[in-house]
Amino acid sequence: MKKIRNIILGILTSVTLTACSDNGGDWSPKVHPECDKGGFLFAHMTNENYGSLFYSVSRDGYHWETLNNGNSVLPAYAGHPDIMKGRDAYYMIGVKRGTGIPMLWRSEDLVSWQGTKLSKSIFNKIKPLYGYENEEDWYGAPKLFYDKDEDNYIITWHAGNMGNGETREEWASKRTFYIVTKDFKSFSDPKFLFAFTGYDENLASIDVIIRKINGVYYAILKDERWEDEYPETAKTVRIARSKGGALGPYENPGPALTLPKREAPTLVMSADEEKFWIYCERYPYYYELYTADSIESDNWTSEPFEGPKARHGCVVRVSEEEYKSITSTYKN
Amino acid sequence: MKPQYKLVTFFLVMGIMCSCQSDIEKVEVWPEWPAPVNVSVDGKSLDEMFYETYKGISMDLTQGQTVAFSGMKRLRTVLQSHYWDVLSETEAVFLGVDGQYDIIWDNESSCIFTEPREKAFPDELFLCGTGWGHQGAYKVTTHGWSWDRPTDMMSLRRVSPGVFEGSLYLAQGFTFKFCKDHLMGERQYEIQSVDLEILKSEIIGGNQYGDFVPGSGFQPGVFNLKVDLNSNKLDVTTNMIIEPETFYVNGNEMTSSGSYQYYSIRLRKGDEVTFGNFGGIESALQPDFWEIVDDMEGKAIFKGENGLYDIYLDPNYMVVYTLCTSMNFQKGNAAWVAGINWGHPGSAPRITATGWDLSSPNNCMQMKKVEKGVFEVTLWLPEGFNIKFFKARDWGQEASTTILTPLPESMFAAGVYVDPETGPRLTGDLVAGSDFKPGIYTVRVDYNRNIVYAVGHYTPSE
Repeated sequence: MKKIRNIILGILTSVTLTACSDNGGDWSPKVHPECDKGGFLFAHMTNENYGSLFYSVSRDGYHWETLNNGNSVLPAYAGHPDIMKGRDAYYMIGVKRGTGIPMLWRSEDLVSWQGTKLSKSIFNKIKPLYGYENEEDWYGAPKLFYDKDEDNYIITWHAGNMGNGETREEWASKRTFYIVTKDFKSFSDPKFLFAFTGYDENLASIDVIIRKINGVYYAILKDERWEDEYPETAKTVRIARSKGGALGPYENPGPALTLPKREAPTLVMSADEEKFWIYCERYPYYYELYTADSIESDNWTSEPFEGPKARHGCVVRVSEEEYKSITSTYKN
Repeated sequence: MKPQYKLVTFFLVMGIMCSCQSDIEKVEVWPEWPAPVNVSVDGKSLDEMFYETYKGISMDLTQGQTVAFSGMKRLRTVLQSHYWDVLSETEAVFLGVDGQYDIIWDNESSCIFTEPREKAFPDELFLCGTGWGHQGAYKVTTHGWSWDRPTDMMSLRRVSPGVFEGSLYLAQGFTFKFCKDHLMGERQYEIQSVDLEILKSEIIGGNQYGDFVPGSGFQPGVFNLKVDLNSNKLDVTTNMIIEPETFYVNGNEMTSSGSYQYYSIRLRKGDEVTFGNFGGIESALQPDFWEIVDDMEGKAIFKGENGLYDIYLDPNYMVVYTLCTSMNFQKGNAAWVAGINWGHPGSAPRITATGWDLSSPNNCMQMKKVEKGVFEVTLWLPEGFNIKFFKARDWGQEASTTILTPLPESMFAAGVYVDPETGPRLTGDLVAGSDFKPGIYTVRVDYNRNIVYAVGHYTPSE
């Protein structure tokens, strides 16, 4: 009888776990610390409007509200939003939809954005240099990092060399490239960001963001290899460390910090600035939140939160003035 | 013990229901999925069928009537704003003229489409095409040129005799026509771009097929259309802040010309020209006519024949066409290429040609003179390209594979049509040979030796 009961309980537990992993579990509101001032801005796209820019905001990082009645806040923008605070303003990279022309977007208040066209050749030099090819619809989700030490902007993106199709081989061939610029007018030639070794020598990486924490640089990436070949880390988010500089050399990334099929990570400190938060997309459904006490933790835990209906995006901390400006401009 | 099992079974069932929840949501994308059971209009559930698979209700409505809605989130995004003035989350005032209307729920977009029951011109006018959507959905909701669904043919609201208004979302690359009597495909049922004076042609323009298409300053978003068939005008307004893009040639502002930005300039071989606000020009300019000096600064040297040239920028593809339409083979300074399934080299892998046409810059490109009787042009050629060569921009001046031999045969071939009665005959088209691979080709026509061949081949990123 005990055996039967255990079987039933086992099934019950596994069903409940399945339900929870789809956010069907207990999402009853918890009390979470809010930011003393300001809050969080989540700039993201949606599954229905792939590549468009939507804003969601939160005071505590757990409860989010999508602004502007769920409409895009910048119809001219197309891309995988990644907002970076630079030397003098906020920046993000996109593409002029349908043209393959990369766009640089600049804003001083996160409300009003000005777009400037960039040259395709900035990114496309990877073809003659390395035999890799960009897909010009999205240019491999370019992301920005302002390297304050060098007063440089670093643009990272991914590309493959197996023909740009949605094939297994193409995704396994993805590598992360970077270019450096001081002024967005002249750009370095592209280079590979990583030179991993051993188990990770042939790591396919996408959606890489660079962050500097306590003097150390971290590249948060998705391991885009396949589960049957690399079951421990494939399709998960991992973190590589560089004690040299923003451009590396990066050590081999640490273990998987998420479950498989997570991508587009974005990192912020918690509202009380006690924890590290990585939001990442459980594609193509919604974002999840993983938290840890240290960026180098081996124990990132998933926490339920009432996320927006978001795909690929970034979360940035904003001041009270910015928060009010955004919410009043794009109020529902 | 039994009650314990019942309890366990209850939780088990509940758990399964929870775990299946996301699957139910996924099914919602099916258009034939019925309306949510709790949705009602004026207290009546949407239980009538329209277009075979859509649920809705037919109602008599009067202008100014307040109608109650329930079971819908964000009513403002559910209803078409040209038919409804939303008062609250549960009430909206009907703006149309008195009559019987079908209120049809589209589960795919979670929007309601309002249609007059009697779909008869001149009382009603419809819009049909591609790349447009319900204004509340803020995305493309149409399935294309069809009248089989409420999402595919939008009813405009008649505001006075001959005057109609409609709000809709327009995406990049949209095309539409206005239609009478919920029918299309025949000229008598269509109101085309050539039939109306478009008051904001920088936002909406026309193409050679009579479609309304994006103008040179278009950005995706929600637009309000006003069609006045008394004065034959189309007005376009939007709440969006559209920051018009201005482009320059040698510091001079280009002007809007349909879907293009345009500038006329006299050019001599060796002239340095500056293109302002183009971003990089390497992919924008035709390599046959321009040598890049500084990609980001927009500087290039002209290397074509001397003449008065038209510079057309297509901002939707960010490519430039350089042409002098008066040049031709007889004068010894140009030949021309036209066809289907090919593109400007900078647009690869996108197709920029829209059809057989010798009048539009994107459909008929100038070939540069290499030497007397020899001309070349650089094109993006995908599988299935189909082009012809002309000695002038005139259908009567075709001089293609009926007289030119494609070389090598494995790469290029002469198009053949097999007439069931008379047998095979040459069409004059140049098409792919058995070993052809898509790419950017510089195609050279040699009228001295009557051959056509490729002198260069590049993959799109090279």
